[in-house]
Amino acid sequence: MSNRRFFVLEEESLELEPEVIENAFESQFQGHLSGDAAADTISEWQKRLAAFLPVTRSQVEVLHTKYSSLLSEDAFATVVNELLDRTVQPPTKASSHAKATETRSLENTVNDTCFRITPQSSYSAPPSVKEIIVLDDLEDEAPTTHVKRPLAGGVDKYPKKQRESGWKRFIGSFQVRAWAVRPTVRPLKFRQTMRMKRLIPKSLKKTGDRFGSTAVIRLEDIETHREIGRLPEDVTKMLSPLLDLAVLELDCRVILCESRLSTGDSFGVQIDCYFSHHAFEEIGAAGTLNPFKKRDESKFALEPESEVALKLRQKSMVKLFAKLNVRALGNSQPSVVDDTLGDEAESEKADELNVNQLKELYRSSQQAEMLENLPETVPPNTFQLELRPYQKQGLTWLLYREKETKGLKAVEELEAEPWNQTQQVSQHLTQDEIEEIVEEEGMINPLWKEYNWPEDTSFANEAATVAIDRASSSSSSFYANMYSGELSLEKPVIRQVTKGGILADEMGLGKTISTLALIHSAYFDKLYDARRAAREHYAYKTTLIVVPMSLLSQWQREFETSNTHLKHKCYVYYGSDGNLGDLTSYLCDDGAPIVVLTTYGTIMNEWAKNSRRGPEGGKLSGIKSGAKAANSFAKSSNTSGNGLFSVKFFRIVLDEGHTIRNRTTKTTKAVYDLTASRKWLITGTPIINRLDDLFSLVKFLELEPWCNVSYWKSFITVPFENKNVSQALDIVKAILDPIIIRRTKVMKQKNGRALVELPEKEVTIEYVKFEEEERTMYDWFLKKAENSFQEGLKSGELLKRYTTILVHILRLRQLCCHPLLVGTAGDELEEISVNPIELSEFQPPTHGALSEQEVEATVAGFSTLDLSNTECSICTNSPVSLHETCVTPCGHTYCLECLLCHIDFQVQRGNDAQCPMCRAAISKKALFRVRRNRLMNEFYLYDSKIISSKIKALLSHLRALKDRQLGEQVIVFSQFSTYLDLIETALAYESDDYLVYKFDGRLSMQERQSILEKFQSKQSTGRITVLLLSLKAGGVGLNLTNASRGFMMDPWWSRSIEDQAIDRLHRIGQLRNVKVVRFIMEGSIEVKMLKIQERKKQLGEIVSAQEEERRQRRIEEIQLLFEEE
Amino acid sequence: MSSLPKRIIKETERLVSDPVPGISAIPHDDNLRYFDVAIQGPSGSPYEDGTFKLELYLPDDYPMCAPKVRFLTKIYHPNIDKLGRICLDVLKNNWSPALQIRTILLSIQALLGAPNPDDPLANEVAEEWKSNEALAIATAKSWTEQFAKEGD
Repeated sequence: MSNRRFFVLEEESLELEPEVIENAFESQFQGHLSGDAAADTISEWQKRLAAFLPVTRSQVEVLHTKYSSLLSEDAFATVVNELLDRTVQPPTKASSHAKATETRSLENTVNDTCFRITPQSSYSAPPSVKEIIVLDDLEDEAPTTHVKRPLAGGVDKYPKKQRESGWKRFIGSFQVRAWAVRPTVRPLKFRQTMRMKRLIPKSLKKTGDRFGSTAVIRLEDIETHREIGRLPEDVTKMLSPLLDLAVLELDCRVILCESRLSTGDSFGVQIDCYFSHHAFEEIGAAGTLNPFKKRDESKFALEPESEVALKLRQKSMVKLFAKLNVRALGNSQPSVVDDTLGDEAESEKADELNVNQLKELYRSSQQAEMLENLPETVPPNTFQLELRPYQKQGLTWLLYREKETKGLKAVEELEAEPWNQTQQVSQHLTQDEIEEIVEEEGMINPLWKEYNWPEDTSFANEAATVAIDRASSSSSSFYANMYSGELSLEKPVIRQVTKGGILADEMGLGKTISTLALIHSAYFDKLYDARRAAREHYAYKTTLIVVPMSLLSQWQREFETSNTHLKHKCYVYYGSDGNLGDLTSYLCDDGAPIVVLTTYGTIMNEWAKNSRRGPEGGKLSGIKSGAKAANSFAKSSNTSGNGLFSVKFFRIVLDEGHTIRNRTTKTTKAVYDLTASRKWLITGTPIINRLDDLFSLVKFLELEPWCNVSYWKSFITVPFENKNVSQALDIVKAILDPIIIRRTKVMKQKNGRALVELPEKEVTIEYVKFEEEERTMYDWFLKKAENSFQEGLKSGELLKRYTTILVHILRLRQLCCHPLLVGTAGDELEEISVNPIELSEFQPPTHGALSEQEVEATVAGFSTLDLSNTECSICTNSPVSLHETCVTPCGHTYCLECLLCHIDFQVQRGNDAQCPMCRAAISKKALFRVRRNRLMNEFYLYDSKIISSKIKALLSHLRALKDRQLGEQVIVFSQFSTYLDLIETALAYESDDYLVYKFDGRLSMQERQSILEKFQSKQSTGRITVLLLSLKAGGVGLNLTNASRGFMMDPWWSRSIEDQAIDRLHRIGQLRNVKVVRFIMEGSIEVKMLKIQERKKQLGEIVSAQEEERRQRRIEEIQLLFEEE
Repeated sequence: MSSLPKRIIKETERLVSDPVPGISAIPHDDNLRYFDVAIQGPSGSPYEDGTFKLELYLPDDYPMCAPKVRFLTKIYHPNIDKLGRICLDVLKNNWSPALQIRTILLSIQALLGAPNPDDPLANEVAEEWKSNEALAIATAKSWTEQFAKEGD
């Protein structure tokens, strides 16, 4: 860095050549002396002028005569200016301005409102300019340490060092009572200018974190330089950050001082405020932001400091605007924004964000109208499927977001292949329409408000033909961002460099299809060819689609069915076998697949691998020389390659994009590291829990400036937490509006019909009763849970016990499903080790059970039993099919179901269960079932534990279906994989008529695919096909419209998850009415879970951005769970 | 009303196609769980030649619990009260789902042939039966004559 010479004009004197001045005066103003009344003023003027200009009394007198009609102080200023204008040939505006810019307003320029001195031209070598060395950076500490801290305000009438040239503009005045620090002999004069001096305690200079807060602003007599008074603390606090950041320039005049002052007396001053041109510089540019910046410091180390400065600036700016009563245009309310730090806490209506507001968010004004009027775009012929009208509109929007609307012709020209007839594409878009859409994007950034420049009522006005930059003076208004304290002269439009956005159509509206249509419509970067792309490791023809594993095959299938272009390939990049190392040579090629499908897991694994290899791996290595890339295949064998991170993609699409809603997860971080020129998120639910979910999505999309955490925090999270909901929502809305498209099923098309008309959906709750033994067990666990809860409540440590209580709750929920589930960890509580003691404590009653010997003996007695022609005496069915047969120890056969029903009935009435035939005592623990083993009948003990009450209820439904229809396909949902196992076993026991498939998180991709294929293929056997679906693994994305019956075995905390699962059936393509039964155990925790679901629906979990509130709500929820009926 | 279990349909069919001698049971058209029953008094009993009308209703829990049966025809019997209610173990605690309408009606018929005054329902009748059996039987006969032979 070169040390520049920095001239600081000392305030003592500026020596003009006396003759010049004298001549000027004598020629112009001779003989206009007025009476004695003016004598005082003249003396004073002379005295003041003498401080820096050698003037004679006669000269002053002349000037006084000319300007005495003006207010004295203004007159003085005018006089001084006139004086200078006469003596100095000011450089033309243009040249001075150019020079100023050229030198980055740094050096040698002195400017002051009243003097407009440009030293370069007026003084060839200013005699009293002290030469000091400063660092390159303007805001460096150097000037502070070498010279007295400059008065950041340019108020002082002395051509004291002004660090930069530029302009300033009046923003307003305010009066304040200053207090005297020393006695004065006489009262201060009206309009006497006070010099303001900003002191910073030394100890704070370096830390900067409390900068401005303990500062002092001195008011000094301009002649004696003696401190006379100080500004009160609150004003000091407000002004000092702005002064330090050179945002504000001040002019201070005495307005009220009735008598001579003693220490501690107060006197009134008026402070005229001007924004300097620095105020309008971009924050963060050239380090204007941070006066403490050191050149060696890395950017990162600086961040907190600059953030503090930013915050202070914002705070002060808000206060200043309030003080000056500057109001935004079109806003009757004072433009005071809540001080986000809560000092004055003028919180607005503290309304909460509930579901309605969330809906409102989605249904933002832009959406409805814009969507309705969007022209339709027909995808090219390579895309085989017919789009619905709204999907064609959506395609227009998607292309528009990628700035493709105008460029599609280019595709056509480049690709002269006969099957690629893109002329249909975008021809519907007229120029007007495009512009219309473009205009919409030019919306003012909602954080900014427009302000009119106020009329200049400062003392200095008129007197000093204020030096305003011509360029700026023409504008009548400026823009201010009260959330950041930034100012701007130009209309701050939301910049959108992001190509992409969020496709948030409701479930079932064909997001997949829309995405594929987009890919077909614009599948490569027109600016690139293979050679250039390979050089830059740019997969210019490839869209990377990241999907949850369960959807991989579905996407692939959809791609294959929609694609007719022979050269358009889809490559599934999954698992270790797909790992090609550096993918450059494969993907940055003319023949690259247009779609690469992969899963979040794959990306996360690769990312983890790359980051383990240190900085050499990961993205850095992706930017290698072409020569290295060529070797990549040879290399990949031992380094395992960098996979997806080795190239930049043309486009990335994240399906179920809310997967990355938590920005701290590995997967999310991995996804952030993928690079692409266009980024899309597909999700039906962009916000699941909290407003902050959005941030992660915005960050992925690299949406400036919101992808910066601190911005997001201070503009959205903090206001939201401070109950400034509408403000936060406004911003969120403004962020989302341009980048999100969301249509719902109920939305009306132009013709007034809903976008999608689906068959009816009927969801019913079926309450199931516990069996006696289950009840005993449940009650036992419930008691334990309640005790734990009560203890927690008493000791006030409920939240500390949170996990313990969660385990208790989990136990209860599992008991509702099946007693055998207890002891397995729930999916959501994997980290909590199951306490085995807890389980063994419970000793189920064992009476009635048979010992092994007894079992053997009894089974031996069955050898003579003829099972070929049995009749169940309970239901009179004959013969009873073998797998339904149940044999009592007394040798009588029944249908298992009938006998169990009989036993239950008797037990319920307090009777001992008896064999209906011989009245021998029977029990569920001593029943036998039969299975065919080779040609023999094999008897085995019936395990009542296999079938819980809920499974029984499910079975009876399935039985009814079996009786009624043939070939029904049914989906059974549960959140417990282990439960699905039990149901599978139970179904196998129950009947051969069920064809059971199980789909859960333990399956590999291929297995998932084959299971779904099998399930979806029509069964001609007339058997009932059952898909056991894990709520977690299969709750999203899957398309299971071939089934119309669903059974929800257990409730989830939030209804929306269940709804989403149900929508696997109830979506486009479903032709029959959908019936779903939700099983709920009577008088159990599940009933209360329903209540909580209901409650959540009302309050909206989204509200709980605030930690404290969320905790409170959790407690309430737990209380709800344990509340007495 | 819940749909009719297969068993009830089956039983009804069998009662019609393969009736028990001396017993008829016909379901109502509008309620297939409600039967009009007629039982012939067993020969050799005071009720011989009488036709006794009964009503029979199958509750929802049937066959887990017993059908409800009641005499409509007045009868002089120690185990049947004025309201026609019947004291019979299989209709109460000794019910078993293995029993059916047919078997229950047979039991009732048998009860007519073998009154059991030691487990009475109509106490006065039972007293009479025990103190002066001949008189009781005569009364039973005259009641049969009087009430159970209208249709013939």
